Formats: sequence, C-alpha cells, structure tokens
Amino acid sequence: MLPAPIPLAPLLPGAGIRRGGLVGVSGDGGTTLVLSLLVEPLAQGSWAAVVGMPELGLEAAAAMGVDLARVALVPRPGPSWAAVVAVLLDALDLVVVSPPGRCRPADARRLLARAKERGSVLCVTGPEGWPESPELVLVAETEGWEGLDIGAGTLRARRGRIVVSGRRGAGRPVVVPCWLPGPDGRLAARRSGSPKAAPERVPDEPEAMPWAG
Amino acid sequence: MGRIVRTLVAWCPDWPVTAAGFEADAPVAVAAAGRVVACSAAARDGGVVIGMRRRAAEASCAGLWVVPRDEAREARAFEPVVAAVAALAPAVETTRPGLLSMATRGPARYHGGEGALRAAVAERAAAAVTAACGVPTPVHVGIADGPFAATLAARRQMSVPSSGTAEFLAPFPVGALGREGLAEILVRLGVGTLGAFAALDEARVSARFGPDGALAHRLARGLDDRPLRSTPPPTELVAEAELDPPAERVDVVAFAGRSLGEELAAQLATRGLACTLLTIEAETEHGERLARRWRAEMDLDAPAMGERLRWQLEGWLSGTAAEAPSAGVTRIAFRASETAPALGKQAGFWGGVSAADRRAVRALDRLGGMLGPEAVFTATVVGGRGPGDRTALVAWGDTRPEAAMTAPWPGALPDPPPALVHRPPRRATVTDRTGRPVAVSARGCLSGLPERILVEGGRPSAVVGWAGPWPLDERWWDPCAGRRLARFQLLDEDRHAHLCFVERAEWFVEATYD
Repeated sequence: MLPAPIPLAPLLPGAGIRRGGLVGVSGDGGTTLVLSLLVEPLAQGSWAAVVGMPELGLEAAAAMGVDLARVALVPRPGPSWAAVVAVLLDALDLVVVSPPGRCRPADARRLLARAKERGSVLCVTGPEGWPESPELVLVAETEGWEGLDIGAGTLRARRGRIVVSGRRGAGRPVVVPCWLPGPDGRLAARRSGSPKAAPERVPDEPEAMPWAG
Repeated sequence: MGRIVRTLVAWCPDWPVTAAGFEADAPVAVAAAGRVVACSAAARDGGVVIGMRRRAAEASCAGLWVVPRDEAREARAFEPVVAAVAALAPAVETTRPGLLSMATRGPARYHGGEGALRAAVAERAAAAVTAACGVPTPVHVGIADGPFAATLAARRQMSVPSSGTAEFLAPFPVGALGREGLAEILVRLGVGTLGAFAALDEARVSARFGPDGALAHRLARGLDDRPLRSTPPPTELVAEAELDPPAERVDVVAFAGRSLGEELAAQLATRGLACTLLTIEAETEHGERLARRWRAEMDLDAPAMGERLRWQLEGWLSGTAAEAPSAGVTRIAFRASETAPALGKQAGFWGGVSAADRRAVRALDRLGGMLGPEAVFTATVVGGRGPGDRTALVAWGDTRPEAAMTAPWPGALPDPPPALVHRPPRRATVTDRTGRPVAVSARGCLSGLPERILVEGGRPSAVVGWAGPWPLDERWWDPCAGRRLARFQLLDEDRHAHLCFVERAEWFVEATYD
C-alpha cells in the first residue's frame, strides 16, 4: 500500500493506494490532485517520477509538501515514452504519466504487468486516452474559489470535490469535499459538501500581502 | 617511515578572481549561492572574508564588484598554466584549478637545483596566466617535504629545507589542515597551532579522532606520508570508453564520463581502495592525446572524477590551450594511478541511503543513458518572482544546488502557487465592457475593467473575479533582460483561475491554477 492523502484515505480499502495498480486522475484541478498523491509516499522514503508534463508547476508541488529531491522529471520523453515509463516502474514506487496521445493496448498491458510485478503504482492523468480502465478513478471538480473579488483580494483556496470511483473504490462514486488546495497550498478536508450550505470560512487568517506597498 | 617526496607546489592566489580577468588591486569578489567564495587582495583589505554573505560583503567594501562563480571558466583558464609547467617537468598533478604540484627530484636535477626550478616554474606559470587571463598575476611557488608543507610554503613563496619541515609548520594555525570539524575541536581544547597539535601523543590522537585525525597529526608533524600509504595499485585499474560518433562538446564527453567514473569507483570499491591520484586520458580522432593527473587529498568518488574530467576538457576543447585539438574526442579513460586503502568511508547519495534510493538512482542513471544528458531532471527551489522562476530543473547527475532560498522574496506572487505553468505563455485577449482590449498605463491604471477573456485555442468566457494589476519592473538596468509587465489573477465563469500578465499591451496567460 502507498499512503493516500488524508481526505481520501478513509474511503480507500486499506487506507491507501494498492501497489501494482493503475490510478486515473482527471478533471478540473487534476494537476493539484495528482501532486497531492505524491506527498505522503515521498515523505515515507519512496521515489516518484513525472513523465510528459512539461508545464507542471513545481513551486506548487513544493508548496504542497512534495519532496522535490525524490521526484524525477522527464518532461519530454519523446516517442519512446512507454519504454521510459517501463524503466521507471521497475525502480520507483509511483510513476505519473501524461500520455502524449492514445496509448497502444499492448503497451498499456505491458506497463500494467510491469507495475504488478514490481509493486509500483502507475498513475495516468487524462485516462481517456488509456485503453484499460483504471481500478481507481479520481476526478477533481471545482465548486469555486475563495479570496478573489472584482478587482480585489487574491486567490486563496479552492472549494473542490474529488469523485472517487472505479473497481477498487466503493460500489458507487463517492464525493469528497476538500480544499484543492487550501490557503497553505495543501490538499485538506472540507466539512460541507453542499454548495447551498452557509459559506464556510476559509481556514487561517489572510496574511499581509508581501507585494503590497 | 616512508620516503617523503620533495614537492613543488605552484599556487595562483585567488584563482577565481584572476580567471574572471581581474587584477588583485581591483575590489572583486566571486560569489556562488549568495556567498563569497573568493575575493581579490583589495577586497580582502576592504574587509571581505570568504564565506561572507554577498550582501554583507557589498556593505563592508565600497565599490565591490561581485561576479558569479564559473567553474568551467576557472578550469579553462588554468589548462594553459598546467601545459606551460608540464613543458618543464612531465609529472604535473593538478589538485584543483589554481593549484598544481610535482615531485622535484628529477626536474630539480635537470634544471640545476631547486632554486632554479622554482624560478623557472614561477616565470613560465606567470607568463601563462598573463596570456590566459589578460592580467599580470604572480604565481607563488614553494618547495618542501610533501604536498601539505609545500602548499603552505607556496603561500610564503619559500623553499623549506628537508630538516626544517616541522619547525616551519609549527606556527601555522590548525585551520591550515583543511579539516574544519577537527580544527574547531582542537581550538576548543586549547590546541591552536600545528606545533601544539604535533606535540600530542600519536596513539591518543588516533584513539580520539580516528584514521583521518591520525593522518592530520602526521601532516602536522611534517610527515606527509602520502607515498607511504598511496602506492600504484597492484593491478591496472582503468575504465575507458570509445565515443562513437566523436564528441566535440564538453557536456557530451562529461556525460559519457559519468558512467565511466562509476565503473572505476566500483572497481576500486571491490578492492577496498580509494583513488588518490587519477589520470584522465582523452584522445581525438586525429590521434591527439591529452593526459592530466589529478591529485586528491582523500578519495575521489565518481562525481568528483566526472567533475575533473569536465575541468580538463573545458580547458582543452575550448581552445585556450596552446594545443587545442583539431577533431572530436573518440576515447576517454580514467586510470587510478595511485591508490590508498579506503578508510571505511562509503560515499552516500543525499545522506542516508536506502535500498529504494539505490534502486532509483540506478534506474535514473539508466534512463539518462537511454535519453541523453538533457532529458531527466530533478527540481530545486530557487529565488524569483514569476511562477516559473522559483524552481530550477537540474539535469540528473549534476550537483543539485543547495535549496538556500527559504528567505522571503519581495515582490513574489501570493500563495498558493499555480499548478500549471505554461511555457511559453499562451496568448490571450482580455476585453472590457465595450469590447476593447484592456490596457495598463505606465502608472498602473486600467483602461477598463476586465469583462471577458479569450485564451488562445479556447472559447470566450466572462470574467467573474480579478485582482491586479501588480506591476513588475525587473532588471531595468539591463536592456536585454529587463522586463516591464503587470500581472493579474483572473477567474472566469467556468471557474478556471488564470495568472495573466500584460507586456507591451499584449495579454498572456502564464499559469493556470489547475
């Protein structure tokens, strides 16, 4: 098991992500969600790799608590990306890949077999182009942003939801309300899931803006 | 007791400063990662100390000129000096750019005595430095028993007779041993000079400070026992590789050298040896050869070998050397010319090494071999204002700079940082109520309030929240790198939050809070 981020852990069998599995992450806020998956495993000594995501905001990753020294980045793997992922799955616990276009079914089967054999987790962003259905599907959704007004304030936190489904998830999709990210840049649990509920206060007082004045 | 080798050391004072092309009387400091790593004599007189913060150095010395460190330049400029000295005596060993040594026994006889050899080396080396760096700088040459004493003798520009080594060393502070931790403890124990340290009982020093302390003790007593411990290896220890196609660029050769370094380090490790003198050989398509010997105080591990290969090639391939090669490099070899028993020190990656770390490092090395030098990276946090400026990618295998930027960075963007940074930024159109593009005046006033946004390749959307403009006037002193822009955060009706900027009346989306 690889440890899962706090808001998700209680929903998953064994409170984590099963090694040897395929995880699909997508949706509006999917990048933040995929970064949050890296935090806990890296803190426990695992290594991770991110393949094919040249636009990844590394500062956001650092703010979420990702230990960048243990993340290998292959921003442009080229046409042999499947071979790159195979090498990484051999040795690293978690490999995030954004496939450049559709993946050939033979490649997908080979990579998943490799992950099963080595006990690593393959995480695919934008799983629509992936021929096999992931055993755990995480879809991020945005309800709204806190802190930004018309001509005032700054973005501070996003009220988001994560929809958990897939064979290894619960029988039917479960919706987890969360801060995606919260004001400190991290993924955090949020109490109310209903947008109709009374507006919840953003945790933490706003700090003085360093760029003002 | 082993035979102690009479050694000549040539030392270029403040080499990073000289290599940058500055004279000693200009107040110059060379800085890396915000700290001074070298400074000129004039800067030292102004109160600059090595290890000082850059800001503090600038504050203490008026008119101080700070240049960033460029190790490649230092190595490049030193290669002609090595070549000039090697013309006098072949077995020249480079310790680092700015410091070289040789055994004097043969060359001194040939040149008619140690004095004559010293004078000849000083003259040739100074001429080479002047030619390479364009500034007349003296080179300090000293001769003494063993490299340690000779290095100190070079600082005094003197020749220490064989019988007088211990007396010569006695007044130096213990810091001269180059072992910070040891020096700190000794000073606290009231042992301030090499003489006082040498007077301690050898067995007790060994018991208290271990093998490295015992070695330091021998150095302090003037018994530089490198020949005693360091010997040619029992079998030939070589790692070599043919380069096909021939490599003309330093980084390509250095990349090949990395796995070669690992190979030699593995050979050494299985025999329990540490490499103290490394010979790096390079050969070109036209049969030109360059061999240089690199001396190391303790142990040369694989990254250190790679670094020395890079230094050597920088000098050779860039053509500042008199004998610049006429074709690409086809063969490189690392040869362990002298070894010593390894003192139980295991090289580690990033502190504690677990099995997972080793596996990961091996896989990433392999991947680097598959994809080439500029494909696999790790990231590190550095200073900067823009969303993409605050992290830097470091090619796998290169040294990660220390993540020193924990201090606040005035003018940086408010947290949380965006999760997607567009490279290059995407063009966008932001219009006001009347449909005209929103412009920002020089004083930071808007021509209208943002109402609609159209990101290139997307569909138009209404703006439901925005903040800004946050003007940025960066590097205005540099006409090429200077930028003037104003940043905005924009939230559209589809709940996509963007970080945008306006530069020269054009809108760009540089990052998205995905």
